[in-house]
Amino acid sequence: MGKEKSMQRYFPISLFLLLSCAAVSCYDCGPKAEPTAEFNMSFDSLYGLKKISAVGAKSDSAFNQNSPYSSRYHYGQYPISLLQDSTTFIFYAANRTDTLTLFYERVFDTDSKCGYYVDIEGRSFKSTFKSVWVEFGSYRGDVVIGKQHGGAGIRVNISNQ
Amino acid sequence: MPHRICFLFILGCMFPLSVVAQNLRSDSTANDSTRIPPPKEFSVGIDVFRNIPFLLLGNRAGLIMGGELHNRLIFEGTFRKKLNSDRSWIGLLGYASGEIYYKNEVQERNQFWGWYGKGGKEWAVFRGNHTKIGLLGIVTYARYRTDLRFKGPTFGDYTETREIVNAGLGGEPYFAYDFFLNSRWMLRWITRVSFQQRLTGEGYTPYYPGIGNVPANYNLIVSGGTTLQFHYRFRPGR
Repeated sequence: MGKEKSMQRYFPISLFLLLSCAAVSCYDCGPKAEPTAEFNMSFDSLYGLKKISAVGAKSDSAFNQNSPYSSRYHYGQYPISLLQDSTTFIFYAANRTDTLTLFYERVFDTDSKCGYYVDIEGRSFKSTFKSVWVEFGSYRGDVVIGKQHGGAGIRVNISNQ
Repeated sequence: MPHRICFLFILGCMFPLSVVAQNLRSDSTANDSTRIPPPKEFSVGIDVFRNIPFLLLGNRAGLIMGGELHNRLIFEGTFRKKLNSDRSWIGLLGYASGEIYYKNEVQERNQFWGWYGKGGKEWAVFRGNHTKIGLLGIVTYARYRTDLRFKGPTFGDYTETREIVNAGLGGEPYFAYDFFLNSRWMLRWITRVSFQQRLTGEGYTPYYPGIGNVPANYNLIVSGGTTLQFHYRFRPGR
């Protein structure tokens, strides 16, 4: 009984892999849940980042997995909201508080490659940081050898220098 | 692209069959009509099997594509008009509904219901008038209502219920064996293979009304099955 169940569960997955990996590349269907944005941050030595949060977040734990922030350079993958078309991140530092708001459009759809999926179409951003660079990319795409993900998603570079 | 090729292949197979059937018919009516008056026999039948094993096995069944089918009900009525001793017209109207539950997927549940019509022709093969082969065209209309949940551990889950209308055309070759219980009642055992090309709609349909339990296909679906029909034969003049 248990074996039959697991056969049923893995059959569609293996069939899907077989079909989509038949050629050189595989297809990445994206997160199928709350997507994350990739953050690269570099601050001057006086900034003193203490905590990161977001408006509407039920918990801050996803934003502070690498705290305490001792270095001047930080990297993190922080979730964005699927409940609205923007997410505002709050950066609490020693003497000030900065914000970054990402504006985007959520796409919930279905196709033969992925079944139901979620994707993000980036729009713009607003920030109190001196220098911010945001690249909006799809979360889905062909997986090429040497690349970890098919879709790059959202990538953020923050600098206050 | 492979879907389209396959569909053309099926159409290609059906066309010569229908041409052959037409030729056979025109030849035989020319010969027979002079001697025997055309028979007026027709029969009406209902499906008497499909719901029984499903209910006996706990009103649930695993689907090939994943998910578990619950509360499936099928109602089918069929009409058969004899053209002559070994050819008949066939018409069928059906309704099917049910629910599909998923574990650990974005789709949590599908509720579906749909109507389908099938019509075509059948021919007697071998002696004894028990064995028939037939070819039907299929028209379907099916609604899929899907509960979606995209998990959001930080900001909250996104949920939505989406209703999609599907419609398609297809074909169904079948094999039937008739058990004549008496001069009026007949039990018919049918084994079929059904194809359908979806013309409108989207999303995977692990169970499609009128087609059945579908393997991993999207717009062009194939399935098969076997069932029993109970027929009453109207035989005027006998």
